[in-house]
Amino acid sequence: MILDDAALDHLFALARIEREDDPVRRQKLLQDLSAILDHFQELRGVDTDHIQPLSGGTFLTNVTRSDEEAVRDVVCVAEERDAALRQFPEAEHGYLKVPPVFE
Amino acid sequence: MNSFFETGYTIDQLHEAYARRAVSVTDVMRQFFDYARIHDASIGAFLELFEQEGMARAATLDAEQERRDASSPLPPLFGVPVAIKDNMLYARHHASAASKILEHHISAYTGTAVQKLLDAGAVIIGRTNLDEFAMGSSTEYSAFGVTRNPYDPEKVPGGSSGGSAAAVAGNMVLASLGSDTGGSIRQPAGLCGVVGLKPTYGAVSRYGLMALASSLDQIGPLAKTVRDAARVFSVITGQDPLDATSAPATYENLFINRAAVKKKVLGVPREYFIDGMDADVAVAVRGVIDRFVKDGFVIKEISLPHTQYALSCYYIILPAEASSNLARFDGVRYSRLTDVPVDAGLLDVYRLQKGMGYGDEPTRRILLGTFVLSSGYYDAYYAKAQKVRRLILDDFQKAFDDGVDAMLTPVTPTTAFRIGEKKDNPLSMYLSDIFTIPVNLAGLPALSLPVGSGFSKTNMPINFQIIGKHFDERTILSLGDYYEAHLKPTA
Repeated sequence: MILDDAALDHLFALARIEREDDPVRRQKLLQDLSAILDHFQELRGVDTDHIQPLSGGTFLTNVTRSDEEAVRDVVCVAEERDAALRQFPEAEHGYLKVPPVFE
Repeated sequence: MNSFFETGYTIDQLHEAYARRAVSVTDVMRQFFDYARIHDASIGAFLELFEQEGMARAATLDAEQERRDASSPLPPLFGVPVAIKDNMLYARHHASAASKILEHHISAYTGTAVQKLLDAGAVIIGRTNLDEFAMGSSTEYSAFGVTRNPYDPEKVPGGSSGGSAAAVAGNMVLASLGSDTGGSIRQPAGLCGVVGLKPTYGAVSRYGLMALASSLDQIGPLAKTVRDAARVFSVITGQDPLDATSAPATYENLFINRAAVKKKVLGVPREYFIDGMDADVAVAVRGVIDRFVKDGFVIKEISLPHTQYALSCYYIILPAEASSNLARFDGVRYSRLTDVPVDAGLLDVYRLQKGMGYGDEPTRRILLGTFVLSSGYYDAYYAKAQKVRRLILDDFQKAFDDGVDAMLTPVTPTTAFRIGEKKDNPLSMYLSDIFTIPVNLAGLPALSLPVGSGFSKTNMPINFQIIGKHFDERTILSLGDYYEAHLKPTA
């Protein structure tokens, strides 16, 4: 088993997910993740010396534009901005309100 | 008009009726909503039907039609009832990705593909169920209930676009949009016996699609016939300044003539017929190949030697990208669960929101992605997978360079499986996408379409897959259309 209990907690912390405390569900999660990671071992047998990694599915090159809003006259239409703001659990004066980061 | 629903009529047939002014959009939509409301109670394809606004839109379209000159053509999807997968944004409508974490989320804007449907005259009748955040192959991982296969309610419709496939197969819409990251359009199309197209990566804008794995995701249509799927594809394709990965490719005409179709060389990769696949499926797909051979097509047996590594490669790359993409659902920006205490600190908001909001499969994949990207494992897993991805693309490229125009393969190793059969065994669930995943890794287009009367012994549908070259949707659609018209058995 590649993953142990401590490693699982470390992953929960890195992913910012509340850790699973139920022992049965925890054991199942460890088993599932370990089985999947075991399966990946087959890739060790593939010779990838001198192979360039492929990060996308096409041969397209990057499409970039100048740092300005070329699509519309304004950066974001008021209606869309307001609709996005309404999704925030807390907002103040049109800004996203977040809990304190530093105590 | 009830026969419409029994025979499952097509967009072409509906448009013919509209052109003759034999029916109004209001008549048609009334029937579709009535039908969907009743029949979906036992299928569960929809998370929500937009009945009130759909009927209002039908009236608007009828008024438009009233004013239209009889000789001017109808917009391509005029008055066509369609459904969208619930991971696509549609302004002022809920978009939940079938996740508890977004149960209360309302779209701030409309995504490009959805907007194009509306601009083409479609009536969006509802949002369809999916595996949570499109992670799954059976739609059982939805936080809002299972969707049942219209051919057998004890079986899954496939996934992750299971609701979109079941809505078409159940005659509740004429077409739907799905998204395909590793097979999520083609596999449910296969298990439900409808047509599904996964376009070339970049052929359809992903703006307004909730990202799962950004280098793999692609929106595409599900429909009853290849021609209908092509019609929807021609509407939603095109470069979009709001998606930098959308490509400038244009498609003048999606169908080539019959003489040109018959010159196409078809490859059959031997790695796609494996031990452990249903005998019914292998026999049915071999039958398709035989029909092409008997009709005079040139068939070449080919080898794509790295196929066996695609599953591992995919399940490293996808979780890596997904763990980054899903980080944004942090309880701060896209609505918050009511169970998170109001006075929680920032880190606690993150942890509690994600802990309570994500189901088992997103949690598994986020942890997996976090693992393969973490210090000390990155090279062994993620970097290695990206190199293997190159080898998988090279295999396809070599076959195309050797003169193959398209490939014929199975879509799934089995027919629809029973609800609950694979839910608790993620690895066996993952295996149902082994024939669709390599296509996403290589960014190619592929079509999933019914074999015909080659239904399995258990009377479940079987599809086959046609894989094409980058941006050569024309060839695979033309081959699919040719098969439907001339080779498909109609027992």
